[in-house]
Amino acid sequence: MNDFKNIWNLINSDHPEQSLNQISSHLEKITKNKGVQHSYNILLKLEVVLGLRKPRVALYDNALHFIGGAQKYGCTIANALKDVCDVTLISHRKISLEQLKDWYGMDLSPCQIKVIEIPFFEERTERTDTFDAGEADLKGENPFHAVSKESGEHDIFINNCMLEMVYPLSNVSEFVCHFPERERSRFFHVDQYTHIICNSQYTGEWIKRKWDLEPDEVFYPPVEMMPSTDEVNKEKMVLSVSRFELSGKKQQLEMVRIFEKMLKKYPQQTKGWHLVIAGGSVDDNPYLERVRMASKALPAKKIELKVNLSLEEIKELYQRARIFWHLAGLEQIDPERAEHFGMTTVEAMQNKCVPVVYRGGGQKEIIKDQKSGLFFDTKEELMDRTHELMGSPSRLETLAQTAFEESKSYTKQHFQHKVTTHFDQILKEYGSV
Amino acid sequence: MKKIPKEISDQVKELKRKTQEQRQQIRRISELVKKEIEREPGIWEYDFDELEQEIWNKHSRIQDKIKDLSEQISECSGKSPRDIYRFYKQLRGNFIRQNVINQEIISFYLAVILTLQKIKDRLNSLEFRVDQINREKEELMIEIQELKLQLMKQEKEQ
Repeated sequence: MNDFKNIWNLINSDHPEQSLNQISSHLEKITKNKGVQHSYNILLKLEVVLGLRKPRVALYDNALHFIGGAQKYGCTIANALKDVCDVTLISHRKISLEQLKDWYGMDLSPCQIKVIEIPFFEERTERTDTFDAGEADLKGENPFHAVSKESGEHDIFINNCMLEMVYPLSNVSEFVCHFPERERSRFFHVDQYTHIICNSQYTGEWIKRKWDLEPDEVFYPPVEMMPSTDEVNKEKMVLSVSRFELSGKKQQLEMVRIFEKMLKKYPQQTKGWHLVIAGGSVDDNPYLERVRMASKALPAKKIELKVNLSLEEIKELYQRARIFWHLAGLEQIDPERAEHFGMTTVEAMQNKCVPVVYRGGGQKEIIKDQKSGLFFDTKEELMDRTHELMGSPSRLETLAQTAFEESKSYTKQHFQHKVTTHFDQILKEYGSV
Repeated sequence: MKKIPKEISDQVKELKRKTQEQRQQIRRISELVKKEIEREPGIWEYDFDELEQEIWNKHSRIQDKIKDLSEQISECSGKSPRDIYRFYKQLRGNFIRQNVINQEIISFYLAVILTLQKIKDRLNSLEFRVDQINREKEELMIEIQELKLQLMKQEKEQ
């Protein structure tokens, strides 16, 4: 900062023409002592302060070419910045702005797209469209230096894929963290970022515990599942919406077993109720097959598996369901296996579908127990809570209404407002001396 | 802020272009920022999978033992039921004894590995802190040096 001020004072002097030589030699000295990036950053800031161009922002997400919640989060940030900054989206594979518009309904047309392939992952025998940074060889050279170098071409660098191995070179750098997956290694550079942004207090807590770093901001992810009509045709349906992960992290198999037990334990109260498990899946998913096999033990009318539905079909399910189940984190020790935030829980709340969810992870921040939903700690509690609700339509109604009201804090507008406020402050400081 | 003449803006752009060219020629990040940003690989990059592999390599004779055992089992097929029963009883006894020993050893090694892991994480985080403090120290030293130079310059001018 002092270096910038010194240069600025020379430019702002009464005879800036005479100072040009001095500026040049000053920069040379800085390059010699602190590296050429430092001089370059001074000149980048100078251009913005002098009003020669808009600030340049790079948003890096190595999985931008896949549809996903984290990618939508990043695109919403880009969308909020596109008018005041020149935004470049950096990905690992080719992706078009049209595709992003189809997925997230955002017109990012002023943004640029740049592909940076990581040689380490490209040289592997099995070339895949994505990579696991945890597989990087910690004994060799940091494979993400290509991204680091690119970051230094911009005023602001946003790392949206929580890749802690990218060393930021830009004047301002933002590390968006959806969960601290890995331990600190010799390639750990999160402490070099200007700000750490996380998606929930839960993630923030684990950033402190795992990395000993303090997050600066919590931006809850934007959730847009508000029904287009007020017409409610609720059915006696318990709904679950989550991906059929190969690891079984979302515990759909447990849901089937628990519902089966409920049917036996409370035959009267569960009369007319059925369970719908919806979620995306890859082809030939052995976990999905296990869920399918288990569901065959129940009468066909009592359970339905809905795989890879369209957004409209999911919306319709939310509108019909009365109760929402979420089991991620139940009987798990690994904090990574709990829900880091719980977007589908908010989606259910926006549709007046009462959440009955595991008391863990980010869910604790979304729901107020007994007011906007119900928590459980064990399978037995899940059965009891659900059974209570099934037998009390008025309670369901009250909880659904409160859940709906509280879900309004997680809308896209809310998220964009937080993003804009945060970056307005950054841009204000950056564009001034 | 007063208006900056166009020539100056152009000069700034030109300076930036030159610096950018200079920057593009440098590949290493540590050279771009004139400091080591990553330490050399050391003991902390020890791979526990490699450790397991190493253990199996050291005990490769186990494979021969397994082969012997399988041969003995095959021989049993031609013997009387009494011999087979005796053989299996003996084998079972050995397995039970071995199992008890294995469990104790496994628990012990697990505890050792977990302890090592914890020590590793702790030292790793300490090392990063030291590194951070050193970096801050270096930056402070540079600033002090610059301030000293400025002061000397001012004194001379006076």
